[in-house]
Amino acid sequence: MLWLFFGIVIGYILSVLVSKVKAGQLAVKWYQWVLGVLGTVLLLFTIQNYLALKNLEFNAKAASYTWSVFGLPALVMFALIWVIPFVAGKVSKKNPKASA
Amino acid sequence: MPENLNRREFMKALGLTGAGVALTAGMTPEMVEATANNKPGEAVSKYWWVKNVDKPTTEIDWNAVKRYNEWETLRGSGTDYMGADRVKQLGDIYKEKAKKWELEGKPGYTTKDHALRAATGYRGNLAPSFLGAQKAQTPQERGMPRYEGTPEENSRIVRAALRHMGAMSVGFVELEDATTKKLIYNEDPAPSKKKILFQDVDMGYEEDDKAVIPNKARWVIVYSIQMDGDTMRSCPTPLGAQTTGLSYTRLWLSLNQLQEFIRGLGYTAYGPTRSNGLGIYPAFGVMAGLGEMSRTNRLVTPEYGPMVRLTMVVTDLPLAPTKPIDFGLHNFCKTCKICAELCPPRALSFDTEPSWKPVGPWNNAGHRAWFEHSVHCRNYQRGEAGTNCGICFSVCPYNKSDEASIHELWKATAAKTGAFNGTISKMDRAVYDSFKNPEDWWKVEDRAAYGIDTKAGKLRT
Repeated sequence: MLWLFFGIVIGYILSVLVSKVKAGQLAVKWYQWVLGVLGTVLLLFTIQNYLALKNLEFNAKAASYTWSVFGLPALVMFALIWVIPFVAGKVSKKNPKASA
Repeated sequence: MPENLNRREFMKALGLTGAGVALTAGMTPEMVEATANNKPGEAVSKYWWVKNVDKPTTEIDWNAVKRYNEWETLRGSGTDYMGADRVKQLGDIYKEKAKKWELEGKPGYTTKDHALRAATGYRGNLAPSFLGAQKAQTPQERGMPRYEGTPEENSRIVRAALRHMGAMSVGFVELEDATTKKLIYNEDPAPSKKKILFQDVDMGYEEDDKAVIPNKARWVIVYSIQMDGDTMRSCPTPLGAQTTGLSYTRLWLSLNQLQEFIRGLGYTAYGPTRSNGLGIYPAFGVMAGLGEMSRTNRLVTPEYGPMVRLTMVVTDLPLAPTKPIDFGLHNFCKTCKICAELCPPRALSFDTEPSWKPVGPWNNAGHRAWFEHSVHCRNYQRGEAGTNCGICFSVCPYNKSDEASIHELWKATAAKTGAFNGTISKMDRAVYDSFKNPEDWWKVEDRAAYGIDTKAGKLRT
């Protein structure tokens, strides 16, 4: 059931994104797609392993490590989706000749 | 974030997310709650839709209830209620039908179905025995031909039967004089030390000084019973050790039932005269592809690591041999060494490469292994732990139940390349609790039955 819920949520977000890109309301670069997919996979991996290690393998210590080892990189991936274009935008404003 | 997300769409997303959270929280309590223990006064806690009530849904008039005699049920008084002649008549009718259906091969009434029913109905003496309980009727005794099938068909039904009886993995080995027959013990365990002989006889037999296997019994069925890895993490205490005892109980029950099953098919199955007898189980396990030999000098399986107990029978039921396997364990053990480092009496080898040279007469020469110093091991077991210890089993990185997907990921990596073995071993030691407080074990009321994962192969999701 949990995974059905995740599937519904991810499917909805994806459908909204795709429809907005098609309508020209949103521009998503290829690396943002890649970061989004990798981040989502890592986040789901983190959740699955955390719940299984804690509740099914009764190993709370190992479970707690999943957030730092996999969850944090997932968050970093999601953050980079905005950070990279933000930084690129700032760089091009500072050096208009270089970006031209 | 979409640049033009309007209020309507935001509320839509919020509503869907909220509904999903509510649905999930309500429908997956076993995944969301920290420990799904029962509250006091609760027998069933798994489902949110089950409510505890003060009175059962069946109405009871306690004033009208009297203590009952069990023999007054149909079990005890059937002949009184139905008449002795009628009961006998029904039995004769079924006997005729059963004979006809068995000869016709009617599904569910075939020889193998009757054999399995007789086998799983066995609940007598559990101790292993050479000839088995011999309670099940053979087809010949029922006036039926014995079961016939190809080696592949026979292997399939043996595996299906053994899995149903509680086995984890099942493999088959053909005995060859120059090779695998040498893994059958020359003499069985003390105190009997019976000689195990192969002779040209039709039926095997047992006497005070020997157990004789017919030459035609050329196939070995070797199988594993799973132990509870989490319980073993309470080792070397009696709590940790008892999972071994529980596994042996299940092993011997299934062994007796297997022998009855083979007998019910019309064949013979010869077992150990006592525990750990007949042949070298880990060696047969390796040859049959149940696992690989490890630094602990025991079989380690790809599914549950060292958390298995093994046994075997020799049979004249033709079987299709299964091949050995390679899942990178032997290579992994070269780097890992956790078991050797954490073994209190230092009984296990620290050599990177296995050796042909046994450490003592307790080892069997002729294979390259990380031979152990069994005397050191036994000194610790008897003198310090007071149990059969199990520390090396507990700390092995392969002692994992595969609920968390990370385990399959690293095991697959170790199977394909040894480049990360050192990292995997170090990370396992750093993050995974291999020893637990035994008192915490008692706080979990609803662990899996026998503490094991009974799904296998393609049934796993």
